[in-house]
Amino acid sequence: MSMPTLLIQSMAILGGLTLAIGVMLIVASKKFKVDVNPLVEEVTEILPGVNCGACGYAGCSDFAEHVVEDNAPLTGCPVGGFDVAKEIGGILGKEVSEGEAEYPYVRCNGGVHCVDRFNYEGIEDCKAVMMLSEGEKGCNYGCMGRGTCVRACPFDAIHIGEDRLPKINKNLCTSCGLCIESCPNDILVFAKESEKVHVVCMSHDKGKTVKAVCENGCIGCKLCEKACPVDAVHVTKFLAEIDQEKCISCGKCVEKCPQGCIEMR
Amino acid sequence: MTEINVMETIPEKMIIPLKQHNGDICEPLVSKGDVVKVGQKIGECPSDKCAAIHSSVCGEVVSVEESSHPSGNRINSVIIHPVEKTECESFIPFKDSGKEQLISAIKEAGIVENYGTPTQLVLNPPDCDIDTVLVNATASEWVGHSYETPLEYASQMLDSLRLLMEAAGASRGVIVLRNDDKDSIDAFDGLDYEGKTIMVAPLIGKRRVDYYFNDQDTDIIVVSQDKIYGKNIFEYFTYNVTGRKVPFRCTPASAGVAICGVKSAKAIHDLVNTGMPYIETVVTVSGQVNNPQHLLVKIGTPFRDVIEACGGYRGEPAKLISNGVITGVAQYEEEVPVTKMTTSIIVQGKDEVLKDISKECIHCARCVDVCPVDLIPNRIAALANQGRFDECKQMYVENCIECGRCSSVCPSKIHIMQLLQYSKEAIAKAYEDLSEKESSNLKSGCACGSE
Repeated sequence: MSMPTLLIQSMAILGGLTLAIGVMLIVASKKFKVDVNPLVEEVTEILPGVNCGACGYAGCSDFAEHVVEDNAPLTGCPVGGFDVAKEIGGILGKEVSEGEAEYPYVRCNGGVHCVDRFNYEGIEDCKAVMMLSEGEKGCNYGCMGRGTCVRACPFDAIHIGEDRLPKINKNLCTSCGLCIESCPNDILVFAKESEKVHVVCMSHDKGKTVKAVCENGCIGCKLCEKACPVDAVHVTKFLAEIDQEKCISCGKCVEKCPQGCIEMR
Repeated sequence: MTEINVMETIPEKMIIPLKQHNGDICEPLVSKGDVVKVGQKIGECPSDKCAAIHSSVCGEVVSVEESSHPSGNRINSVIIHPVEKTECESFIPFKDSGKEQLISAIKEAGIVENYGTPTQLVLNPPDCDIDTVLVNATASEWVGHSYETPLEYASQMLDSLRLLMEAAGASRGVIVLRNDDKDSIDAFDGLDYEGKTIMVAPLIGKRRVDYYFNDQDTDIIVVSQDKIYGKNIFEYFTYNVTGRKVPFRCTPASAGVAICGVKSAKAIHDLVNTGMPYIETVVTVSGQVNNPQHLLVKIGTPFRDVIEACGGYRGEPAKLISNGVITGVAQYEEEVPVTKMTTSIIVQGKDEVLKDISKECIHCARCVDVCPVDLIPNRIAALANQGRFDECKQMYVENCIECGRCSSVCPSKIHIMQLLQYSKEAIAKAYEDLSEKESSNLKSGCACGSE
């Protein structure tokens, strides 16, 4: 067989194969077509795409599907926030009203001011510390500062500060709530941006017990209760609590607190 | 033979925790100012998962408050200021027989296994039938030395085993000795009991207890094996002795096996013959103390007084550990009391306590070599560190007996055992929330998963 014939023959075979496969692919794509709502794709593109799961669905595309088809709330994506909600609303032709931004805040003021009962040596994780005698801290309610929330945050918005307490960077925080879920002691909670005054202690222990272990813990002295002009602070079970609806953010309780465990931000 | 001394000195205060077992905390029956006698019941069980608490001394109740506990937590305790006289509650030897009576008597006497489960729950688990009772004498055989002769120890252990079998309604009983514990083996070997000669049989290869039950044609046998050391050995122990497998998160009860310790066997014997509740226990004090010894201590004695009774610290102490160097809990104060679960107190000196920073795994596989249950600890630890607990489960992390050998041989000082424990905890938590239907394939046998 001469060279040109070989060439032509092989080209013909390959060309024929390509054609056949091409036809098969076209037929298959027509026959087995999955109908995807184009809206879902559009919405998915708007979403941040970090697949953090903070919305409660399996990921961004899953959330998009539910927004388009199952009437999931438009503001369901805490990472994207209001901007994304508005854009989704634009696509779907729905109105969105702006909700207030919420950020987690740390309900402990102990850190280095709280005594350690023993020297912990082991893996750096709050949950692991909790398995040993409910943590090394003298206070059973406080933050252990081992950074489980830091590792839970997909946006690098939390860091453990020098006082061994988590610090939240609001510019990076997307309010996804993963840190709140990860904390074994429930130190972190959401608070609205407008709520300025917070009690940064969770200890329900008596004043004497708190004083023995922590310089900054709430001792239930009720000075804040007396200082409040609008009756928004109440001490229940040796711990001050602020009624955010009544609070006018005057800061009088913050000044009065001898332990410095009411904070204005 | 090692001697067991009795602690004579009376401490300044006794701390008797109202929870000396795994389960529910007892309710105090006394309050401040009450005078209590030896053996008086001071803690009442609110539920079934509980063992009663008795006073071990005569004296006045100073307070009922939260106090330290060897587990590391603070637990509601009765604090008693003891006085010198020893007025006892009149103990009535146990006369009745029958399963129900024995079980309720054991509960009333507050007998607890040294691993924490109240003995009546081991012998009479809810919805379970026990057919074999094992007495694990591989670790605490020296309790036997509190008897005058080895013969007395052996025959009393066999009597106790009979009682345990009666209480459990079991048809077969096994005493498991340790291969290198010659004293005990000699004591049991050739002993005539109920018309039969006891032969100590070694557990070798596939010859497990079934073989020897058939071979010796009896319902009580004595076997020996190597020591199994660890915090969570029951599944492994059950398998090694009987050949039955215990599913993850299940007690050996689901395989029809009850495991008791020598201490609780002795306590039951004492209860039946003298009526005395569980108020004293033998504690091994070792390490950097002037007189290391076995000491019979009243429950509730603070560690400090126990150490003083052993001649105080030798040099400056650095670490105080209750219950074994590897599996025990390091204590952060001396004011913790001896409880029913305390088997030993170890004091380590400054040069024994090392503190190292974990480095990267160098894949030397020393942990793989030492693991008694053939896991790959370094791989599992790495997965656990990344939170990939499903993969840990695929690598059978549940089989870990928490012996701590992997951590102790690790040249990189990785906290392998802690990571394994952590992943086990996470897996257990993940399956806890599953609904009945979903988890039904995970459960098998009785009382399994419900603890």
